[in-house]
Amino acid sequence: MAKPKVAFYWCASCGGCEEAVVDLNENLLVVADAVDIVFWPVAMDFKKRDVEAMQDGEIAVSFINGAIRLEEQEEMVHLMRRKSGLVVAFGACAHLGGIPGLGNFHDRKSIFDRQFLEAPTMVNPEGVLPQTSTMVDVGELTLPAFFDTVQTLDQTIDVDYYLPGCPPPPDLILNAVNAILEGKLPAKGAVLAPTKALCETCPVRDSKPEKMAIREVRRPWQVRMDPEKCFLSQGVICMGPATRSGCGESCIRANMPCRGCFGPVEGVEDQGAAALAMVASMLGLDAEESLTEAQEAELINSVPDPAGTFYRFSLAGSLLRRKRL
Amino acid sequence: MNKYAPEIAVFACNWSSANDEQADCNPYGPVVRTMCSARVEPVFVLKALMAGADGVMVIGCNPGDCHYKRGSYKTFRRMALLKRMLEQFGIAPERLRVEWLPGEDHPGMQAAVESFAEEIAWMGPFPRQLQQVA
Ligand code: SF4
Ligand code: SF4
Repeated sequence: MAKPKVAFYWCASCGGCEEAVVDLNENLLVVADAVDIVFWPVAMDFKKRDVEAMQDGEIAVSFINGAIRLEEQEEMVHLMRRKSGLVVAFGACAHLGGIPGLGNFHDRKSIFDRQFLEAPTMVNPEGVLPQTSTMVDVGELTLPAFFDTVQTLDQTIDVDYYLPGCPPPPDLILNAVNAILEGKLPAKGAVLAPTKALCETCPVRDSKPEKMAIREVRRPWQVRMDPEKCFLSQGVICMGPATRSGCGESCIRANMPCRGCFGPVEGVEDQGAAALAMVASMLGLDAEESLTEAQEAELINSVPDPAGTFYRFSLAGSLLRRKRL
Repeated sequence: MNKYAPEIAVFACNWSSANDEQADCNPYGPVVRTMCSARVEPVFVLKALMAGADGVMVIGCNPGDCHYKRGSYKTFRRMALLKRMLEQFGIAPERLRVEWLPGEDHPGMQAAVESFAEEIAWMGPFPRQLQQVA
């Protein structure tokens, strides 16, 4: 029997998701044995025209990482969708926009201005900005258009499954690959990860007080963090209560609070709003009757960058999706 | 110039002035009754805005008079932090208003909705449309 064909593609991403595939280590060889990798720009020399030459639906599954920021990415994922039986949004950026999605606090103009004109390391006396078309001696040079708004993969094409994480951990990738090979997939649209919140699997969860009260919000560098104690109880914002588990608690084990890369827990639509509700409830909880309005306001204002903190990985996929400019 | 006719969503605690006779005290949109203003999750506000509201009003009991003792404190903090965040999204925080109104104050509720609608009318429609995607 012919081996199922598999493709990997990257869009607006950092390369970490490609690294995660390589991190399968010797398991990668097992996977590579069981499937036929037909397209993987970061590692293998296939071209777009090779994909175009395939039958529609010929690729059993495409793993696509990265958000959609450029016209070229949009075009490529439409092509991949047509040629693939299944599409898996691989990693936080494809799933929810990820870090590139934070570009939605800006638009093309403000990003170009900063990057090419205002950045202190930039020398650009003629104010040259990227153009989709430039005429030079030898003819026309083109660049893909840069969108004002970053999109998630499922805002651009139909997506069958999601592998969360920045990047997805090897065990979840392997589970997903095995489920696909064995035809044991859950219902379409599922996130291929546990459903509970990170707190439930957190190694320091027993130190989390019954009634969590925050009297002073502190950033990680402002406090010598006790690795045995829940971050929230130390006044450091941890996204654990509003984030899906399954990552292996990698940040917590490195004595850093969760930033939320796995996205919302099952059934929650907007991770940032859930995190905001959670943090606001805890602020001054132990003294709410006695705090003056000014003290309350001070506590609320002490939360650093609420939008960036609560939507660090999920802005593009959130209800509001972007800043209104 | 015709003034903009705003859509207003009101979330009101059952114990404050939103009881049965008050269902129609918002001529500008729905009144959603909850058991306590603290039941109004920030995501309800975002959903209301994205679903068509130009402004959202949350009505609860005076902090201290909350039927469940501490609900209004929580409402105050959540909505205050949400306002800060809305501003970061380029959305005027004035599109969200919290009012404390005791249970019998029906005229007060009507007046509060009217004054809010007036302010939202001047602001115009909520910017639901996204910047050019392509
Ligand atoms: S809030 Fe963070 S540190 Fe505390 S139990 Fe949850 S995941 Fe662990
Ligand atoms: S702890 Fe949070 S941010 Fe870190 S890997 Fe896990 S889900 Fe992602």
